[in-house]
Amino acid sequence: MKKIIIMSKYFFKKNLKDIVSFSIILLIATILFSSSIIINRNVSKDYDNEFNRLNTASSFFTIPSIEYEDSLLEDIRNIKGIEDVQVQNGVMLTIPVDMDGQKQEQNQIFYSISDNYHINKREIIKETNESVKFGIYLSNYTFIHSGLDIKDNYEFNIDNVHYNFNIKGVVNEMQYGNYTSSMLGEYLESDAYNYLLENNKSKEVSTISVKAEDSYLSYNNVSKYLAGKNINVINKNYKEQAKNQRLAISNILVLILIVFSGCMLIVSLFVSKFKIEQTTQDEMANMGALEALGYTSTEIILSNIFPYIISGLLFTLLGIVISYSALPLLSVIIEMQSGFKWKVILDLLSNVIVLFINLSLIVIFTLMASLKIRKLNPINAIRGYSSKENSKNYFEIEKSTFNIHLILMLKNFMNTKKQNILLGIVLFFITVVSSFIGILFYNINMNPINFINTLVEEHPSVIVEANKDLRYEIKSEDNVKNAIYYDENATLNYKDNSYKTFVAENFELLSNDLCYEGVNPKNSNEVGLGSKIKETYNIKIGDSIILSKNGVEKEYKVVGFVQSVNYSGEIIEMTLNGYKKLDTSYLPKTIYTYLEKEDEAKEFIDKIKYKYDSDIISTMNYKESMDSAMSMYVSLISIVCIVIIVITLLLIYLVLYIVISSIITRKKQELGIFKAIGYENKQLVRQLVGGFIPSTIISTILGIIVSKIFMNDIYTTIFKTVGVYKASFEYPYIVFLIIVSLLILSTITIGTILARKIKKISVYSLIKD
Amino acid sequence: MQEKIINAKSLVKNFSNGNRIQTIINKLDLEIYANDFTVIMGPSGAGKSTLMYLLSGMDKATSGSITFNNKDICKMDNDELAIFRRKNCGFVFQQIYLLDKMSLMDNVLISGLLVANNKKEIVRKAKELFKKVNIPEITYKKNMNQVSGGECQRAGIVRAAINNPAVIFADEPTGALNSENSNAVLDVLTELNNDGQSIIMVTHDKKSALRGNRIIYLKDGKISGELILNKYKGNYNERNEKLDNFLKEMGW
Repeated sequence: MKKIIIMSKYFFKKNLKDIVSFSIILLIATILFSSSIIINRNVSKDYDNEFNRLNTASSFFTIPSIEYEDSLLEDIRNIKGIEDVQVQNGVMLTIPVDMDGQKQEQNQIFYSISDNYHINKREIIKETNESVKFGIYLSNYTFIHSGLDIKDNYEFNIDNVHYNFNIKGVVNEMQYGNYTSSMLGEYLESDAYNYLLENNKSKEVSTISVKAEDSYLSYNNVSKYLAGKNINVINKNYKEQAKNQRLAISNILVLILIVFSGCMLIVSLFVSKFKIEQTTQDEMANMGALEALGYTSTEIILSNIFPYIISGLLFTLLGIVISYSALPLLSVIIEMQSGFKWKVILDLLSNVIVLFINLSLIVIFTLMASLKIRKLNPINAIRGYSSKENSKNYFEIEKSTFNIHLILMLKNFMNTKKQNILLGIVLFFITVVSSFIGILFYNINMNPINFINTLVEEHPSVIVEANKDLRYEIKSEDNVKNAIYYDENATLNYKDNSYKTFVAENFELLSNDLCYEGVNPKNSNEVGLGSKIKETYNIKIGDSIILSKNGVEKEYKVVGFVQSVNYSGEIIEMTLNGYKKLDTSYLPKTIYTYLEKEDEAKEFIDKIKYKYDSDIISTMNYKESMDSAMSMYVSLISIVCIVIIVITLLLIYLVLYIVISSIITRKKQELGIFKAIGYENKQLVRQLVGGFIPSTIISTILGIIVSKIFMNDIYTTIFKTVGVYKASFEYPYIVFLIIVSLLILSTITIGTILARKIKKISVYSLIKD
Repeated sequence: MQEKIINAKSLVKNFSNGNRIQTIINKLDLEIYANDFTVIMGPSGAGKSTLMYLLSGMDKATSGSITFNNKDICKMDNDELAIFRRKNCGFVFQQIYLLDKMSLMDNVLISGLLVANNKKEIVRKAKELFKKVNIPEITYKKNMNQVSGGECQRAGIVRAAINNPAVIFADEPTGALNSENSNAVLDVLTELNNDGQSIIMVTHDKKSALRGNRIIYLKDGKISGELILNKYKGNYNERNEKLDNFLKEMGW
């Protein structure tokens, strides 16, 4: 063992700079990998723990208070599987609020903080001891994005009445959550609540909360019961769906981190493999001498790979420790997006998993790289017999028509195959990762409509709720592109379950095509089904299914499958005429309005409110709300993009450092000869860097081709984890072209900077050393 | 009156070894003339190779001046020196220093094409030189690890001569060769010199030194003696005696 340690020390000292580069890459990979594993293993679990701790409802149903009667609660209590029920009274409003500095229309339910409930408990996480007038406790999500502080005013206008509440505190609750769950819960002190209720009596709602072992079953059974009673359910949700809505972006973020850290880990492994192979080749004579002295090849192999294994162990441990410093930042991102306050905890199992994966891969790769030592013949090694490839003369100058410098670049390329292979592999992975990030950046920052189409359902400019058919009047207004009936709040029953139904007069006129397989329904006997319904009942296109409403049953032909992230694929799509076959009294009220100039949505709302006054029940500036919600994702993804760009450049730098240092060290004499016969430094730098251009171009173009072919599948696979079956992303050639150009340019620039150290080496020392 | 190619004045070269400064070349004055076969001799550590590399612009002097073809090479930066070397200097090294992943011909062409653009002309000239040094086509198409040391060194001479340099600098060109190959290499250098090529050769081999017409003896970084001979025409014995006496005088 002592012999191995002594030899390991020698190899460590000899390859110190390269081991440091390997360790830095491994360190970054481990920080990202460990963070993502810890998040992946804990956020979901902690979410469930918090959900249980606050005894949050398995499912809940918000109905107008006017339709509520106590017998409903008793009937629901008696439904099979229901363990507990509770009713909470509140006021539901759609209010314009400032979120992240932008106006956003939000559905909010205001409850009284003094009402004590055993289901849906809330925990005050921030509070002022001072008494305030008209105090409000904001939900964590609203508080974070409002930009307000304790004791600030939370103000809004409804029906020309100005409400001004004073922020008394912040509550943690698990019932609502974030913007994508389409409803937020806020809590008022008694006087404030009574004031709000007095002015909005018609908007008083009752929320029936249910506890059950099977939340989805309870959700379906109660939905069906309420539908049977003809009760208008304004808002409903259940545990898994709410969780999916809240953690969707966090899950995508974790997946991106895992993929990126995986790529970095692979790069670090190839770096270690490359360096060990180089050392084996450089030290062949010494290794031969050691074998001749009686050292076994196993001892030599172990001493060769030990520095990498020890560094791998130390830097993996360091990466794990540092990941705990990075996690609070990621926790803030999760909290911003989900409203769920996740506390970072020590997770030893995650740490062991990361340590095991890293070390196993390092051992496998370094052993693979060292196997050549086993085949070493001491005499040949001492004599320095080189492989046959050394004697090949690529690109014979006499026969070549190229310029001498180009020929020398090409010769360099052929004579540095291993370095080029390493660089090629690294650049290939970097290209794929960069394409992934570039496409994400393009579809969120440059063309956000694609991101919106992927994650949300229909998105008009303005939603107008009217008590008479105003479509033609609205269509005739200036700046209006289209106005159609579209309803996302209808319900239908299939088998024993009640499903949210999207009803449109014509799906072709909508801005977002949700259909990922088959087509949208066109005729009154056709239906589109959500992905979850398709999978639950194993339904195929062309099948006929029986749908019902209020005891009326009709047969429909399944023509397509549609996605819905917010409703976990539990939706039905149907034409207006098709829906009317089941509900003849159905009168659509919501007019989805699409404007030519979406930025003028506010002016448009003011105009129609003034013009059609009493015919309009409510309006929603959907465009403004969407922009506001998107701004959060834009900043989040921008941060991720910047971090990944910085790491990518660092990665290129480190790998090129290893490759170029290795070439300069190995070719010191050759460079000296070139200098002696009159080659200038800049010519040698160009020759050296030029030798990498073919592999740089080939690997980046290959990476781009693979990305172009598989990027849609990659995104679909990633998005599938949050319920997206059709990523409406665009993959424009220009993005790929920019990525290829930037990567090639970065590689050449970094390579040139690193290769400039040739200048510092005097020709005399190159010759003499 | 012979044409002066190199003129070194008060040349000093120090090397620092930690805190200790060692003077290798000590205020040396030297003139090198066209068409001469100048041989630099001296004991180990006298500064022979250092002097040769200073004169060729491969290394930089600590002080003093070197005028080479009327240009002060001490004032040139590295790249200017490289451009100067490619046009004015040819090098033959003891360790040969051919590039191992190229054929002998390519080794010559990388030097030739650096100066001339006419590839056909350079190839023709290279072939002519290969013929002169007795390396057939089948050999010059091979890589250095596929041919003998003598053939490599002769190819090295072709590389050094391809650009018609003002001076060929040869540092112990026969140091790594057997007797037969040494003679062949020396014959080539002699023939080149007889054709008008100026040569500066460092050697501690008496037999090699006999090929020169001017022998400079270096000791402790200074010229301690100089012997002028006629051009080598195979008059071995007569020259050998003169050289023996000279070297004895120098304390060889």
